[in-house]
Amino acid sequence: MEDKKKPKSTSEPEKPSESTKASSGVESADEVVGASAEGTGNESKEDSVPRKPQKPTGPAGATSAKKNPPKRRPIKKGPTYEDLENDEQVQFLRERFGDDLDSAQSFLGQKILTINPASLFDALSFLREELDFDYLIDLTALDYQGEEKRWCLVYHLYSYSSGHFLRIKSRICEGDVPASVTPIWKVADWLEREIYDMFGIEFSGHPELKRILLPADWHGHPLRKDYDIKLQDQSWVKKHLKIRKIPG
Amino acid sequence: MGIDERAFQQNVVTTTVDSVVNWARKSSLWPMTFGLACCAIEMMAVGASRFDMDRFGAGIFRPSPRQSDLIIIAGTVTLKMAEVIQVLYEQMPDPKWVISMGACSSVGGPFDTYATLQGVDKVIPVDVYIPGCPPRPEALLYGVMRLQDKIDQMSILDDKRLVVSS
Amino acid sequence: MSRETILDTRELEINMGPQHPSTHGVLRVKLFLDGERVQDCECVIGYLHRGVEKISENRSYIKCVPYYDRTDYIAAVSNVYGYVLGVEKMMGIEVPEKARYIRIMMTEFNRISSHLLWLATHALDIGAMTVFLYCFREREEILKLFEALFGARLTTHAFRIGGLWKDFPAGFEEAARKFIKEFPDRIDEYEELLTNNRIWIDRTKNIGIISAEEAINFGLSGPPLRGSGVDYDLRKIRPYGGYEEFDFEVPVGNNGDTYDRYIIRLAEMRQCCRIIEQALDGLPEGPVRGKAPKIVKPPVGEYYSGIEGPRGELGYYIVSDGSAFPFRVRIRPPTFISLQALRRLVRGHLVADVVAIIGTLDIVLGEIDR
Repeated sequence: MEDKKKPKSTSEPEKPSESTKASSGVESADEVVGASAEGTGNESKEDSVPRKPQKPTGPAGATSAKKNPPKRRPIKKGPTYEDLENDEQVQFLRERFGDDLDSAQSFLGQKILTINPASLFDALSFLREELDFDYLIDLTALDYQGEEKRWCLVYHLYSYSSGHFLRIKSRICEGDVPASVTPIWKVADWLEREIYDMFGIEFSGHPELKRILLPADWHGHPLRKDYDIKLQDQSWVKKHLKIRKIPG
Repeated sequence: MGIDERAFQQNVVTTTVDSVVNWARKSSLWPMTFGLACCAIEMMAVGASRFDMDRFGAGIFRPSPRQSDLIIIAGTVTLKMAEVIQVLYEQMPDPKWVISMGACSSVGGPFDTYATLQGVDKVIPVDVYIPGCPPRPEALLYGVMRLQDKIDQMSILDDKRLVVSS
Repeated sequence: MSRETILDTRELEINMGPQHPSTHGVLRVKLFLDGERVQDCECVIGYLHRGVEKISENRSYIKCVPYYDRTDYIAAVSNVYGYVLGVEKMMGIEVPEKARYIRIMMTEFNRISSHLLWLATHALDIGAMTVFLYCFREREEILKLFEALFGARLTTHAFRIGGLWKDFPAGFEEAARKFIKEFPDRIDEYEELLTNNRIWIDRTKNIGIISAEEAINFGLSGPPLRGSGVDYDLRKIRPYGGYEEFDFEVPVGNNGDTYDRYIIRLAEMRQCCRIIEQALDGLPEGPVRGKAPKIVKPPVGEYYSGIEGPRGELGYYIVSDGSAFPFRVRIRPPTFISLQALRRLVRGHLVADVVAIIGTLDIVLGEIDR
């Protein structure tokens, strides 16, 4: 727990010490609940001045707290998702894809486009052929367990000729089989194998979809949120390893 | 030491067979190149010129398990690799020793996960454990010296491996 | 011309690794050979998969940092840089200027030590054992500097969120200046042993050639990409952490073979010395610890922070849901992607060249398997 300076009087708020001055952290469990309930992006403000639990002063203390409410520090806004509909590139893509482009946002200067999975392969081919996004930096997935569209595929693209950096996201449901982008970028081969290994998402049209990091006959997909971190496949262990009894 | 020094004038030394055999074994430990992760880099540093392991006779790293008598498990042992380690250990000829270098191979280290074996002694018997993450090169040399002390206490009449408490 | 022989020939499948002196870790390569020529190869990885990404979801932002040291354990100092920059950007934390200069300086020292280890093992695989001992001699000097500043030689936990933990100890600057004064002569020593050496040239020229277009399609970065002529260095294209204030060149090759990648890495070491000298000369005064909260909780959002590591573009994609633990941290490993190109690079070469090609890609299994 953080050290807090002793309050000088019950009505004046004390300033927390330098090391606990939070630009975006919050100090107690109550404030966490309060902060997350407020929605996206504003977690970086300081909700209320942290203070030591005060001695019960009775009715006099209560009215003095009402008369002099604690001074709130000005709220410092953290980064938020910004809408990008006015961007030229986004408008060009909107013309081409219309409603398949679900949304266009930016966060901290990085562009994020969300595309409908039905036209994901066409959109990525278009980005490669027409807009010259020839470098697929990374391909990964996120697990939003509990939501209907559980998976979110994330593609990071870069164009050598124009220097643009782009992130493409696509939400798919459990059991969906998206198309593999190996025909477009050869690098996607192992990246998709890793997504299959860790999450269990299968890709159609992949040359050789099999496990890459875990043993070939392992059961379970570790990066799913419902897979416990220490869960080992006991049948695999029994079949392949001879665990010895440690003497003494 | 020995009887009849005066008769042979320092040209002959008498000792026990055990001492000679143990001295030969401990002074020419040939390790196998078996670096797995970060500890392997420190093992390479021990083989290089600042912390020279060759002065202990253990400088020749043999690539084949058939030609080595010491295996230094340096790095995290995953379940996929544990299978391989078992095969390699069985391929090494007797007498053979195992040094478990670092926290990961001793007890699993910081990686308490689905894919990591929590200690290589679950699959092969270990003689010396060296803690650290990674252990300093001097710590590895100390571990080799403790192994040499352990070898000193072996006897060729014993079939079982000695368990030394210190 | 058809080959008629009395012997029945067929493809031979040979296993190389996971225990092998030249595979730089626990890599298994299945080679399909026709005599001594490689027709195809298949890499089997995962022997060092420790689940670092899963661990990141169960540890707080600060406690994740030592795990990233241990992914690319050779370049542990610069490894953490990308992650720390990403978190600081998301939280809007200002890093003091002295800390920025020291960070860049130690990252460049780390680049030198990583390239030295690369040269030592690459040369050792090809047969030059003296270079191994010389490179480790220099590397020990750098590790002494790391130990003085960070407290550990190899897995350093170098940078904290908000700056550094501690300032230079007494005598550090003199030791650093002494090192970079003597180091270019040492690079000349290695060049004298290898660059115009007939055996070295025979073993590395025209081995593992990849064209620029294929390199881009395979997603390569770092020296494998620059060896093919593509001028892409993240320190120049999307500068991070203050690199725009430094003056240095980025060496680029022409042929895309092993020899070019060797020349590029040696030239990079010289440029690192230049950057370190500029950092030491222009080092400002001030604190090294920035203002950061004890509990790090970035706002809801996501950020991809990429840096130019010694092996290529190392990226951290951090997704935060507002809590004290990350929702997901994805490490974009440059060597995972480089190793994928191995299949394309070894076709038609001899088995001994496979060793040279694995060496030139500069792989680290900790990063590939995470």
